[in-house]
Amino acid sequence: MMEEKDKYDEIEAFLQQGEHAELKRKFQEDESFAKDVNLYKGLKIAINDKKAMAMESLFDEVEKELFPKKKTLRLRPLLLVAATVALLVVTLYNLQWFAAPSTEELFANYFEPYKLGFVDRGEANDSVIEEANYHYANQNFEEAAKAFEGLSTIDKTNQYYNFYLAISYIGNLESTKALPFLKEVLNSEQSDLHDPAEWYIAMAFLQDGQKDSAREQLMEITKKSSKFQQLAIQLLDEW
Amino acid sequence: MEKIITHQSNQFMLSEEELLTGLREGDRNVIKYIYTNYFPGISFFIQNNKGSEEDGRDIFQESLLILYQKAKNPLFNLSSSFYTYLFAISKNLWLKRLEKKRKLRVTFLEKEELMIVDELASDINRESQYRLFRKKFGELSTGCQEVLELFFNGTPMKEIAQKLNFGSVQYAKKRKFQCKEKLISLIRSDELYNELL
Repeated sequence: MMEEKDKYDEIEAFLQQGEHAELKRKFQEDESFAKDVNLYKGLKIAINDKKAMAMESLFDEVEKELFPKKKTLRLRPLLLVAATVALLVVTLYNLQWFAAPSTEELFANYFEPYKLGFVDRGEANDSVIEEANYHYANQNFEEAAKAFEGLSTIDKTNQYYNFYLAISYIGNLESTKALPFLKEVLNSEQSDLHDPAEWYIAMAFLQDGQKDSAREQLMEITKKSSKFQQLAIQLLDEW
Repeated sequence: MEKIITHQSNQFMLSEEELLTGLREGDRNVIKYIYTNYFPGISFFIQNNKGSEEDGRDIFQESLLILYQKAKNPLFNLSSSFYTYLFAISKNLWLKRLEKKRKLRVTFLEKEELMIVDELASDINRESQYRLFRKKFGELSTGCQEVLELFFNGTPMKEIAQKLNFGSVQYAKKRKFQCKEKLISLIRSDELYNELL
């Protein structure tokens, strides 16, 4: 995922600073990069061409008005039933395997960082906590993770630190690092964090592309009453 | 404006210039005139050459759009009749698709048609690509269309996040990336895209 991200950033840079010698050389020498740039450039032009879009709609309207599509179903009843069943099977198959959103899409739609709200300062000093809070609140998860790592090292038993550290990892797309901390929270006596930890474990699986594990985890969440139950049901509906 | 009653359709006949101007300006009546008079012939040609009714509709619309893009340039002049242009573009588009599908070529371009196609060669390929891009863009969810429309329009990510009520710029960036990925995969998985390369 990160590789792709870098690729698009590079293309953006190329389009904005086409004169940059290194990128210009890459464009000339790397056929695949040149293809990507041309596709990207074409997309920009095509999508910004509102007049062409309006013309296409106008053509569609006129075509429908003057030459509506014929309904030519003249199949015998049995054939019609067979065709309907086949169509239904194909549609269901497509819905199941192709139309379903990817784990990335589901993650993007459902991941929201947990609200900040802990007051237990433990042994850490206020300024480090403030720094961690500040970065977390601003969704600068890379810096937030660093700060919470520091706090977690100072006070390993503070499950709030572990919990927010895990969410910062997820927000920074490093879910594999998040999972052990969330499991630790879940096994601790900090019961107010159990439900959210279960939810964020599901999010971590989604972000990591572990579809089956995410589904299993979400199914577990649907079984008990919590504020995440409805969210899990909703997410599974989109599966 | 000179208007002559035709024998066939009992309606006004528009001059080449009027057709070109009407198309350029998106005049609904002119578009209706073009469809009424030229679509049946071109659609018949496609269907008579291994195409379906849907192919006929698709090729006609694409050809008309190519001609529209050319007509936007006030310096553009038709070197043949409007219909000859439209037919040459349609025929060329269809023959190319047949070739890619490895279906037998059943007809060839006439000399006049070849000249038109040579004149419009780069436009034909480019416009076909753009049309495919827009078609695939239309297949995205409304949310994705909004993000990408703003993004490709040069709107800063911070403004996109505000306009679309996203919680953060980081999320807006993530959404933009995913929508772009989706769009590009839709385009790449369309066989027409590979034919156009």
